Amino acid sequence: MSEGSQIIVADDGRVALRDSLKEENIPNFEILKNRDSRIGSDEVFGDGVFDFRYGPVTSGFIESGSFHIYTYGERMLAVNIDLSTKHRGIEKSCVGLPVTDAVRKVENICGNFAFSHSVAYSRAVESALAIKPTETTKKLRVIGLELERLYNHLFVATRLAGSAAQKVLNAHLLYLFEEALRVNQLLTGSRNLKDFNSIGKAKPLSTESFGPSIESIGIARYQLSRIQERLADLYGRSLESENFMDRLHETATLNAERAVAIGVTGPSLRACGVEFDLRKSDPDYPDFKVVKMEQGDALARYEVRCLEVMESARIVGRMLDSLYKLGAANVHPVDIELEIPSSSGTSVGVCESPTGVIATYVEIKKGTIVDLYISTPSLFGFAAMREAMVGQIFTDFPFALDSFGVSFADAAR
Amino acid sequence: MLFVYLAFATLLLGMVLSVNRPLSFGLASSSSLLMFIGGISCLFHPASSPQYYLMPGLSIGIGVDHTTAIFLVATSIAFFAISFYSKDFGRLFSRKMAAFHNLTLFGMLLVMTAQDSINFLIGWELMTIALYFQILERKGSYESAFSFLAFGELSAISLLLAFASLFVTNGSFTLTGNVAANPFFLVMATLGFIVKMDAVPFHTWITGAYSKAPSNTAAMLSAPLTFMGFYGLVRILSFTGYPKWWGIIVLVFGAISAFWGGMQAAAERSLKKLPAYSTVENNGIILAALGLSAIAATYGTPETQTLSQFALLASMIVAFAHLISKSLLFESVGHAKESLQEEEIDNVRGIWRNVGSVPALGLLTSGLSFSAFPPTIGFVGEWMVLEAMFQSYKLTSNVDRLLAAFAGIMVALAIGLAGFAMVKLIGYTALGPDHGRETRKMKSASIKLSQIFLILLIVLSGVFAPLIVRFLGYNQFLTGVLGVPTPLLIASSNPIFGVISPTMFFIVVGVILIPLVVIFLTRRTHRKVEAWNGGMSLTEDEYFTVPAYSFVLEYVLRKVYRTKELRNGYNAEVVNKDIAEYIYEYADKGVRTISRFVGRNLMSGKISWYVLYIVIVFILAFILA
Repeated sequence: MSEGSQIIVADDGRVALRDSLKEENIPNFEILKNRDSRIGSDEVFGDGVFDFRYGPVTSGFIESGSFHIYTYGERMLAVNIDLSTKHRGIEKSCVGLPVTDAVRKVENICGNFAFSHSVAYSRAVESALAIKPTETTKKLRVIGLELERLYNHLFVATRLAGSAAQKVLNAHLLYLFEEALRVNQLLTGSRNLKDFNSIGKAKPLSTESFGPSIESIGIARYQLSRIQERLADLYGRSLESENFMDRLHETATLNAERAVAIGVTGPSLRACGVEFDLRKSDPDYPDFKVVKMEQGDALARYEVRCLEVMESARIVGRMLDSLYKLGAANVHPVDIELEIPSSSGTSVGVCESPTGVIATYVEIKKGTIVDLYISTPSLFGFAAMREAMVGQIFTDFPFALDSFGVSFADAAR
Repeated sequence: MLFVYLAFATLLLGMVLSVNRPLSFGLASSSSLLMFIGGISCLFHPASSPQYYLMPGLSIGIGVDHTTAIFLVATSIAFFAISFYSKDFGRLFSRKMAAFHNLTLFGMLLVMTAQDSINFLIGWELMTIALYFQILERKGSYESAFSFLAFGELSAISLLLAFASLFVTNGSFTLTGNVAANPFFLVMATLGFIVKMDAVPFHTWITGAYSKAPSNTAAMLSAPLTFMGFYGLVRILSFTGYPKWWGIIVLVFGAISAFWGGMQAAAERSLKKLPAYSTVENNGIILAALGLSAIAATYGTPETQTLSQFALLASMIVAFAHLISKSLLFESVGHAKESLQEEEIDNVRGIWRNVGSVPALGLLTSGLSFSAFPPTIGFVGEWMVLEAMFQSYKLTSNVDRLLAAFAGIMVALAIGLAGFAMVKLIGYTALGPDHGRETRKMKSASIKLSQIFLILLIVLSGVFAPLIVRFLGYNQFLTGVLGVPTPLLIASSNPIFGVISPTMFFIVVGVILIPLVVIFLTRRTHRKVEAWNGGMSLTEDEYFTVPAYSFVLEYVLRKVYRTKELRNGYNAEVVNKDIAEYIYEYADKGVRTISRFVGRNLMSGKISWYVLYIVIVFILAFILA
């Protein structure tokens, strides 16, 4: 794919490619063009205005990346984001590798969204090489995706509570976050769901170190219902805290029109009132309800994420129930050797990750990758956050940053 | 009196020889030394010139009594420092400046030694006019100089009316002996003096005049000129006594002034406007202490009399601290400003490296003095003022207690805000990082020596503050307890309420802590590294700016600061406005409206109207005659 090209993903999951488009035709051309190095290049001048660089290695940041905030003190007048310190060139490093070998590399784009990246890549390769995953694999992928969404959303909520000095809420959410990671470990053998998915198949649920898989599923089912219940309680209480509401309400507000123009997807878009979710038309998600809010501020994003945790817990629970009913023998039907054809093809795989749509474009020649382009949601999330921060004060910074749930690793690849 | 006469003569000679600027400023320095000696000798032997009777009720003469001698000694120190500083600094300006500098000193000396209203007013006007011409030294300073002159004349007119009322009451212009004063005199004279002390709301001229004036002139405007206002108040109180209503007015005025000055200083970004507002703050503290002294004096109990005296002493110490500290601050600011040719604090960072250690130390010392940092004289003065305010419980009237408590809060806030402002000034200028700016070469021997003299004086006068208290004649506040020998302990009351011993502090710090620090530093158990900035060195445009330092305060108090955040495309800035300026803007609008009305309707240029005016005036004169 050439520089500045666009992958257009429709609400129903259909994908279109627009290549070599002129700058004026793409509102987010600048973002796409500079996606390896920076987001935004605005400068502000005036008496006392300076570039307050926050990062790349600074307390309060869990990744290396820099914000260049133009300010005359407190007020953020313009925000540019430097991704260069986190850019690893993972796509290029995959070129020339057999398709199966690139899975682990793609997973490492971003630890938090490892499973989503893996699924988007797998779907692209499977589509290009006409590999059809089994129904159980599809179910297991849904479980993995929702578990990833669940722990990521809990992580965002934890960060927001911590930034607002809501120590009790923060501690409770941290507990739920840890519980979610343990469920991941219990079911997949990895706290962040790595190495659970591969081309055409997913690993069986539970590993030998956790005993009989049926028991593990039962325990995980119970834990998830507890997370769901406790979060519902905490969420209700948090909305009653005026202090917490003060920090989130009308902070870093994004309107739907700008969000769409920038290319934002995921909870940040749904918090602006746009009902865009790939899962809506995905046959693997029967009876799925899209969560959305209207205000587009940090509070709306927090609400969407909390409600989505409960929805994810419900989905995983139902999936586990159906696997449980099948019995232990049927939990392992994907544990088979799959032949990957050494053919050629081109395709795009998409996936609704915790923070938005991941679209992975892949070109394969005789089983080897010749081009790989991954569109990550954090890139657009950062671009939106950058706009939403303008006019806010430094105090609002952590709420803007955390509420978008974006990752430098994801954006910079 | 001989030394005083010689001082006058030397100043006249300095004016005449102003073609040679270093010589002229040198003569001003010599005159200051003569004033100092004259002041010291008159402390013990007050003296005066013969009275010259010009007409019945009008005699003129000069003299130095005990009060004048104290002020003369104090002022002569600042005169000496500023004049000596000007020997080299004056080379950057015209010859006229040297003449007007001598004339300013002449006027101030006349004010201090005047024994009658005529001499006093002549001195008052001379110093105002001479300073006006010195402000004009820089191009584009006409408006600022005129603004200074306008307020100077408001002060002069107030004093003229005050002295006229004094003449009506006493039938004489004399300011010595038993002078009976009326409330009108006290109000007008107080107005005249507090205008000179830059009290709110008569301070709006300072930002223009202080920043436009050469730094030695700014030092004169800020330190000796405002000190003259304080001298005037002390002088008139010596024969009017301490009316309670006056004390209340001055206390409230002073407290508001102090807070306002501190608050505006905290938000200032200009190298000379920040010290200008600090002047408002310091003079406000002086006025508040003076007001408290007046209120306490009216009670008549021994306890309140002691409080009154202590508050008066506090006001004098603060005034002296301000006199020398502000002289030094403007000297150091001027040194840096002329070397770097910059006006804003943001643009003179790294003075220590790029201009020199002397101006950096000057800024540091004076800034610490204004931040009440021990053992400087500023610390002693501000501690005394707060101690006096704390003792307001001794006043039996609840109204007085409330007012004194209010003043105490305002003064404490003012001191805190001034500390904030000074940390900003020192942190960015003296201790800030060097940005490799080019400095202008200039002869600076006298500039440096004068600053060194004042640096030592600020520290030593703080350390030996008990001696100053003794010099001022307040031995009752000197004591010795808890191992501190008499008279090294300053007590704020008797029985003791609070004590302080800057001398012992200095000894403890000097003898114990400094060797410990030296040992610690020479052990080399540490290494110096660049401050952590996200893992990368800061680029030029990434340094925290001066406006950013105080923006939080401005934003929180935006209603008071009248803060406006302006954004125009890629340009943005924050502007504040001193509310007091609205008063003059409205007055200006009113005057212009009236002028237009008069111009259009009464003085339209029609010859027939003028003939009519002449006829009316003629008829009126005829009738009256």
